This record gives sequence, structure tokens and C-alpha cells, in this order.
Amino acid sequence: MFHILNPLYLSALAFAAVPLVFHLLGRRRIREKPFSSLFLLKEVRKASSMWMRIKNLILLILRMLFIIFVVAAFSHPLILSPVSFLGSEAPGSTGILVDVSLSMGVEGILDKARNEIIRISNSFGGRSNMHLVSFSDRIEKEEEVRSISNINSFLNDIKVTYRGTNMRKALEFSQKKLSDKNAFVKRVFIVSDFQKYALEDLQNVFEKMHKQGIEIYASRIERSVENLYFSGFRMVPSFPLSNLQLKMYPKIIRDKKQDYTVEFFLSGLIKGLKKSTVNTFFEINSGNWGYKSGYFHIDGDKLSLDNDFYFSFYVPQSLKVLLIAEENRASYVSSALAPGIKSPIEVETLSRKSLLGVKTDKYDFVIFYDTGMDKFIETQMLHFLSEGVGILIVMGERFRDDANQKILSDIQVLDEKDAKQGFFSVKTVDTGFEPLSGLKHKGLENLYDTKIFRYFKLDSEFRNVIVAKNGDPLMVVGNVNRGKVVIIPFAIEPQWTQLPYKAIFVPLMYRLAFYLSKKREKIPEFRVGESISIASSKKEKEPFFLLPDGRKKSASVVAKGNELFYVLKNTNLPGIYRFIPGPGDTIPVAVNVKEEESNLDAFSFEELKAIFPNIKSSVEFKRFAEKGKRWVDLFPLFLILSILCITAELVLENR
Amino acid sequence: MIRNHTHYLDPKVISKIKGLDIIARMVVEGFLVGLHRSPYHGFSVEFAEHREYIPGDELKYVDWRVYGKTDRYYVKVFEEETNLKAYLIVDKSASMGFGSQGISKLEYVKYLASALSFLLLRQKDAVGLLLFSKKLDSYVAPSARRNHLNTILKELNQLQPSGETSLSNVLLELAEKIKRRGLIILFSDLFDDYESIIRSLKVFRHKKNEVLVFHILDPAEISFPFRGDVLLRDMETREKITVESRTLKHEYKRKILRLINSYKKDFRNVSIDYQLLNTENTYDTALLSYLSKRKRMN
Repeated sequence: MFHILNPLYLSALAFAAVPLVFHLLGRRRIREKPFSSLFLLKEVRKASSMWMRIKNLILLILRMLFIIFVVAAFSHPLILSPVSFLGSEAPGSTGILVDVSLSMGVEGILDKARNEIIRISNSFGGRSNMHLVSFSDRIEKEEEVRSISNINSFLNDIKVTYRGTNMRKALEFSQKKLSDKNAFVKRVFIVSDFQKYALEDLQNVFEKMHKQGIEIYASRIERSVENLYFSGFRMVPSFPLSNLQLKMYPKIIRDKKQDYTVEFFLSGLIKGLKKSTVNTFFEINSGNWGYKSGYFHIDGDKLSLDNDFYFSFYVPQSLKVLLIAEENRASYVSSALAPGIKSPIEVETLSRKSLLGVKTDKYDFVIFYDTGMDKFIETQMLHFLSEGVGILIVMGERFRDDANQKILSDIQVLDEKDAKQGFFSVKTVDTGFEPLSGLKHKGLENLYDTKIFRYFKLDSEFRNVIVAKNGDPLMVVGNVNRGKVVIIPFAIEPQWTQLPYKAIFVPLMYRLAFYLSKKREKIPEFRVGESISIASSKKEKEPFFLLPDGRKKSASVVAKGNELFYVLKNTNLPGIYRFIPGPGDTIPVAVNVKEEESNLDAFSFEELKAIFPNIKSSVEFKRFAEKGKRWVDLFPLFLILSILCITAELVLENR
Repeated sequence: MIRNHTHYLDPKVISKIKGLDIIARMVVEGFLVGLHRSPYHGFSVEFAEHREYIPGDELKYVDWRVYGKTDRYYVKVFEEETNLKAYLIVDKSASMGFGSQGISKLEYVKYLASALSFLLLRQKDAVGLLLFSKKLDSYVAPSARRNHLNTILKELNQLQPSGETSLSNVLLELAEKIKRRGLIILFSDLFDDYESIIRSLKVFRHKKNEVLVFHILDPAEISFPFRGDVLLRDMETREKITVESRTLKHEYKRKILRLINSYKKDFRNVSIDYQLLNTENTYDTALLSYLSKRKRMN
């Protein structure tokens, strides 16, 4: 097998014609000289002319061969070595692309990448030229390297950026670079954690490189178990309460062959824990109430809960509801919420007049049942809402008088006459609204004899979540201050609606109750590069933060009003930070990378292979191309031949 | 002074001077000055002039009368009385136009012939001139008159190389023409058929003529100094051949030397004086050859 390393050089073979041209021109250009008489020369010439012709021809051939051999030598022809001890690795050109996007900043990952690059570069022979490229969503740095010291210096200089990943740019850069080089083997090593989003739209680049004979190797840098991150979560309360579900997203990527500890940080109301699905879904059983924190440990199909750190949530014992209504007016609602003694919901009914002086923090949410909307009620509502206590407004006869007036915030009933009784078919149920999740039209298709306030003017914070076919609102939700608001534009009484007789009524009320009792708390979510700020009412003695890499950093204190905030500026590593206010106390805080940059979004090598069939794992890399065979470079041979030619030419010329 | 005169024996120097009569005079005078102490002095029998005594002169030639008058020693210089007819036969073929050193063979001959004519006429010898190439182109009958020199020099002055050499034919023709025996002086490069040349010159010897052959060659014709491939054009035939000088040089030199030696040997065998002259040689060599010959003839 034969291969030419620098085939372009062969075009220089045209120069082999130069001696021929000179030879031909030289013959024409022999200068004519007069000589007295040729009679003596003629006798002598007969003997020498034949030798002269042969000699000139040999000289011409030698000169042409000299050029041919020189050109051939520098084009580096390679032949497959016939014997195992002869030859060496074919000269190659290699691009190593190292990912320095945000996700590579996770503890230890970049060091792993550095070690992998050194491993790869050590496995090359001395005949491979190499370029190193660090990239995020752009080319960060690139350098041609010739020695191990160059590589080390490059690796020492690379830093993780707070940028995303775009592998396409780096691959295209390397592809162009390799196209310009003459090499027997061309390879690209991608050293990355391979986020999915970074690999979008790469198919054609990979195919192009494959067509150009560029081998692509993936060096997938795996993260350790401590470095698994979630970009968010949400609670999905289901009915009944005992089956509250915690739905995690994005998906947890899990290698089924391995057990490993998953560390994550939660905040919210959960009651009990039970894993119900393998990858994404955890069902939480009712159990002990109170604050919980600990590890989730995935071990086969079991999900154990240890009272420890890294997540915390509150499981309430029961809900306490304040119902403000005229006596016996709201019996359907109170019966639905608290049907018996063991009910988890305790309902306290107060008249409108008794409302003054009620402590807001005593109740999980408040129901304003046909209270009307005067200044007093509005003030009371806003008072509850400012404390984060949700309210349910049930509109009845008393609200008729307030038509065309502001009910709450920017909600306004446009026309009192439009509060009409009629037959309603439900058109839309917004299942994105948590209490209606999974319900769709069940039991809500038709609402007979319902009398409602039809025309509302809503501000942007409010929306209709149940809408009749004629466009009338049947449930309005929104937020005011820190509190949630649900408005039902009709009284829950047989004179107004058939809803209390429907099977859906009790579950719906339960769902609304749990929705409203869950305070609108901003999920504490920090990202790399931001500052962590933890509020505290008391002044700690020696507060500090423990970083994911084990370093300690003291917390700076900022006072805002009565509250103190402990701040760690400029987080530069993703992971779990622990705020230690004092001995024996720990508040864990998760500092996440972007969802796209999280390990949850990364490809395994098998997934990569499925998408890009030509990609190889870096562990498959063989130093000797063509299945380990050695190649002999004919450069020295042709060089020797060219020297022999020129020597023979000189000797013959001077004879 | 002496040095100045001998300086004019150098062909390169003399070639820069215009006027053959001057050249002839300068060459001869330069030559004669150099001869003061040579064995050839006193060859003239008719008094010509006085010259200052130089130690070594024979006392019998001292003019005591002049000594008595002037207290200085003068010797008498005599002119030889002669009735010799000398024929200068000049090859003017195209090959004689060859010259690699700034002076062609024919120019060399021109100056030499002029000088010899001057010398011969000064000795009261009759001098004739014959110019030839393929045939006899010009003939000046021999005469000893003083103004005859002008006639000869005029002919020589107009001399231009042309035509091929056919030396043997011309010599045979001349042999018929020259009735009275005399001195035949041939100037040629002798590039012709060797045997014919020898044969035709023998005819002169048969007719009791003395023959002196000046074989005129250019240094390049002896050393063949060309390099590499050269296209040589024969100056007579205009024939061209390409030769690789390096391979030919050795063989050529061998051949030309063999030719020269053959001429030397064969001319000697038939009592013909032969003198090889290359155009770098000073004229005294040629003039001495002549004088030597002349002496032997006496």
C-alpha cells in the first residue's frame, strides 16, 4: 500500500522538464566560432561524437532524475512496512478541542479534561503536529503545539468561562485547520461533557469531516456523583392529599448499571417520600410532618430518606382556613373542606363584622364568601395578601351593588345587569393552573342554572382558568402582593349554581385550598457568577460559606431594615454551598449552572454514537494508523538517490 | 635604446603601428641592433656606414682614419653585394585570417614579409612577392631596386584573407615560373594535403632553389583552448561542425604536434629549412632563420 503525504508537492515534478528545456535551448545556443581549418578536427571528431551524444543524454537523464527524486522525497511517499521492526507511525495532524464552558467548571471536571488531553497527547508519536483549541460558545484560545511543555503551558492557561457551549464553531475551526495540513491521518479529539444542546446542528459538520477523512474521537468527561444539578422543580399536589407528588425537572439521567448518590436541593411543601418512577417522578406518602432535609439515595428502585442535609421542606400537619361569611351562607364550602373531625382542614367561620383584629398568620388562607367589596373588605383582603396569605373570593348578591366598581386590584365587573342566570357549557379548563391539573372537563362540562358576573376587566396579573363557551369567566386567578387570589364569580349555592351537587366539587375545593395555602415564596435559586444572599433575623458570630471545592469564605453582612443578609459575592463554581452561621448549623444552598449546562442535559457516549455513528471513543484511539501497521517514509531513500544523481552528474560533467 | 628597438620585434606591439614601411624598418633595425654581438655582423662586403666601436668587434674593421680625426673608435659596416633573387610566397587563404591573440596569421606574415623585404632589399637582393590562395593571385617580379620596397609593401598592404588553400598546385605553378634559382620563402599554415606539400616543395629543391618554410600557426591552433560544446566554422570552406572540446582537445593536440614534427622531419630530409612560427613569437626568430639560411647559402 502506498500513500503520498504531501501530494501537492508532486506538482513540482513539472520542474523535471527544466533540464530538458535547457538541453534543447543549449543545443540551439552553441556559439559559432570561426576556425582556420577543420580537417584535423574532422578526423578526431569521428571517434568522439558518439560518446559525446551518449554522455549528453546521460547527463540530461541524471539532471531530470535529480529533480524527480528531490520532489519525490519532499512529497513524503509512505509505503506499508513489510516487516514489523521497520517503519513508524504515519505522520498525522491532530486537533484537540477542550470545552471550557460553564459546565466544565464543576469541581474537578477541568482537571479531568487536562489529564485526558495529556493522556491523548502522550499517546502520539513525535510525528504528529497538533493544535489545541479551548472553546465555549466561541473559540477562547487556540495554539499550535509542538512539545509537551507547550501543551502544559496551554493547559495551565485555560480557564472555565461563564459562557454556554457551541461545539460547532470549534469543530469548523479545527476542520479548516486540518484541511490546510498535509498529513496521513487527521484526527479531532473533543474533550467535553457533551451537553445535548451544544451538539445541535452538528450532523453536517461531522459528515463533512468524515468525508475529508478526519477521524473524530470523543473524550467524554464524566462528572462525579456530587456534581449532579437540577435547574428547578415544582410541586404537583394530587388528590387526595396522601399522594402529593414531587415532579423533578429536567430529567435525571441515570446509568442503570450503576448506583450513585444524587444530591439536590429542594424547597417547598412535601409530605412524605416514595419513589414511584425510575427516572423523573417521585411519589410522596403522607407521613411525619415538619421540616425535612436530607439525601435522596437512588438504589435500585428504592428511594430512601435520611435525615440529613441538602434538601429541606415542610410537611404541614393540617390547613387552617378562615371563612368570612354570613351564618349558614357558606355551608357547602365549609362542609366540603371540613366534613368531619379528622379532616386535615380546619375551618373557622367569622362574620364580616368580627374580621377586625384577626391575626393573619394564624390561617393558611381566607375565604371571602359574598362579603361584597367595600373599603373595609378591600383593606382586609390586602392585609392578608400582603402577608402572603391566599384568598378565595366567592361572589354573590352583595357584589351586585359593587358592579362597575373596582373589586380588587384592577379587577372590575363591568355591568351589574350582566350578572345573569343561565345554562353554561365549559369551553376551556386551564390545566396549567395547579388545582385544575389533570381535571380537564371532568364534572365541569355543564353548569346548570348558574348565575354569574359575566363581564370582567382584568389586569395582566389575572387570567381566566375556566371559561364558558360563550366566553364568560367561571374562575379567575391571579396574584396580588405576595398572596394568591382565586375569584369564583358566582355564589356556591343552589340558587346560583348546581356545582355543589357535582362530584368534582369537593376535590376542586381541596385543590383550591392547598393551592391557596401554599405561600408564594420565591424559590431560592442561584446561578454561577451571582452572589448568594441569605436572610437572617439574628446576628451570627462567625458566619462563613463552605464552597463546593472545600474552601472556606467568610460571609459579608448587609443590613436592610430589620433584616440581616449574609452575602457571598461572585460564586465561581457550581455546586452545593453551605452557609455555616455558627457551630452545628448548616444551611445548604445550591448554585446551579444553567439548565442547558447541567449534567442532566449531557449525552452518554452511547447516545452520542447513536446520533453520530462515525464518532469514536478516545479509548479506541490507536497510535498506528491502519490497524496498527507501520509505515516507511521513503524521504531518505529518494534523498539519497537524488544525491547520487547529482554526484554522478558532476563526475560525468567534469570528465 | 636597444631595448626600445627590440620592442618592435613583438607582433602585438608592431600591429599597433600604421604603415608597413615603418614597421619593416623598425623590425629590421630593432633586429639588427640586437645583432651587434651576434656572429652575423660584417656580412656586407660593400661599405655602408660607420658605427661606434663596441668591445668585441674585430679590430680589422676599425677605421683608423676616423680614429685619427676624432679620437674615437668607429668600425666600418659593409653591405654585402649579392645577386640573389628571393621569392616571398604568401598564403593568403581564408584560414590565414584566423587569429586568437588580436593578430591574425596573415597580419603576422604581412609584417614579417615586410621586414624581410626591407632586409633583403637593403642587402641589394632582389625580392619578389607571390600571393596565393587556391591559385596564384598576385605576382610581383623580383627586383633589387630601392624603390621596389614600396611596390611590395603596397601589395602586402592590400592583402586580405580569402579563398581556400591549394598549396601544392600553386607551388608547382610557381616552380614552372621561376627560371633562375633563388631563395624561396614560403609563409603558410600548411593546412593542405601533407604529401602534396612535401612533393611540390621538393620540385623547388630539384631546381636548385633554396627553400625556407615559415609554418605560421596561431596559438589556438596548437593548444585548442575551447571549452564545452562549440560550433566551429571552417574559415575556408564555411563548413560547420559541433565538437565537444573537452573530449577532442587531447587528441587534436596530439595530431597537430605530430603534423608539425612530420613537417620538420620531412623538410629536413629534403634540405628544406622549416621554422614553426606561432603568432606570439617575436620576429627575430624568423629573421634569424632567414639570416642563418642566407649565411649557409653564402
